[in-house]
Amino acid sequence: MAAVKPKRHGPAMDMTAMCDVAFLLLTFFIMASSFKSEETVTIDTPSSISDELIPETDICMVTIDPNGKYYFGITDPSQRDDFAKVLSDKYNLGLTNAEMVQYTSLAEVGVPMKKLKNYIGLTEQQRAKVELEGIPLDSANAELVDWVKLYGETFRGSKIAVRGDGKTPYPALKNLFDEFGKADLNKFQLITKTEN
Amino acid sequence: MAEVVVKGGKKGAGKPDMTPMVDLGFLLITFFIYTTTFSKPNVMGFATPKKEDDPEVTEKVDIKVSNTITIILGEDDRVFWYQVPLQSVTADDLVETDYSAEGIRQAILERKAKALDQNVWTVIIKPTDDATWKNTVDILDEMAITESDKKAVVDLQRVEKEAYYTKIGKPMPVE
Repeated sequence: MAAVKPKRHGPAMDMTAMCDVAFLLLTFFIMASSFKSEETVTIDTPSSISDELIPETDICMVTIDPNGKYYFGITDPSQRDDFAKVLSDKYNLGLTNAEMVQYTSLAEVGVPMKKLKNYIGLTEQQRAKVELEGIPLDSANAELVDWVKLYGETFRGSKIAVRGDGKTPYPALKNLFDEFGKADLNKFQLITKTEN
Repeated sequence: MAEVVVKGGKKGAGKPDMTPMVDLGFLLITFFIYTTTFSKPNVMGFATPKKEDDPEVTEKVDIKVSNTITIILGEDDRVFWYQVPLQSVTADDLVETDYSAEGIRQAILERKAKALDQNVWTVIIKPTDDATWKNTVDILDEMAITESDKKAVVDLQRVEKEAYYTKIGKPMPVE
């Protein structure tokens, strides 16, 4: 009779539990997050104790970078192509359908309307390199107000969020509130991050 | 080392190797973490005065000085407050403090406690051109913390500018 050899296993462990954990985490992350849009500027917002979260939809965002340039963005990506269509029709920008779809991926725009078509036509890498001039907002040319007003007309009951970098000088914000005040836009949602 | 494959037939068939599946799971997790925004930012409601109510008029409404505090946000994260009639404010009336909980918050709370009428307690926030957005939001946040609901963000008047620039020891910019 042959002697019974002990079974020789390599170091193998049961992966089932680990697999469960991995997919559980995956599910959690998918549910608890939303996709990032291509960000034009990095903004470090001030913090506050407010615990009210930004609404998912019906809100447009005016961003002011530390140099005092203004950007316009729409938080809900599904509203972006509708807005692009209205904008293109009203101001004869001549955006094609493909360009409107392309606009959907942009978190915010920092070029005047006239240059929007050209800007959307660039590739992502080119866009990152372009020196943005910001959307004009002064007493001579308050174009940013047109953007925001048009958004408000397209989506009734929408709100305006203001996202300023902590280092933005106050006069840039004052100018914004003054110009918007002239257009009878007085209610804003200031974007902040949670205090930590 | 070669492993002995147990040809157990029916028993072994029900136990697939999970390793590739775990790999795939973690790969997907990594991908999702990189491409998504996780925390949503907070918002703070803020309303500017309507065009018809002129800030000058609002300010001149007869509120007793002891029921108000005026906060001037200066350069380099400096902050000053005063509690004297607007027309007679000088550099000596400006009290310098900081943005910490012991600084401006304490000042607001102390003044608020001493106010004659808590219901009309008003905070007037005056950011100078040297102030940053962070300073403004910090002060608005203090309003929420100290429960000072009546607040206004307005521009500095000439006398205040003079007082402020004398206080920081800089010449007043020509307008």
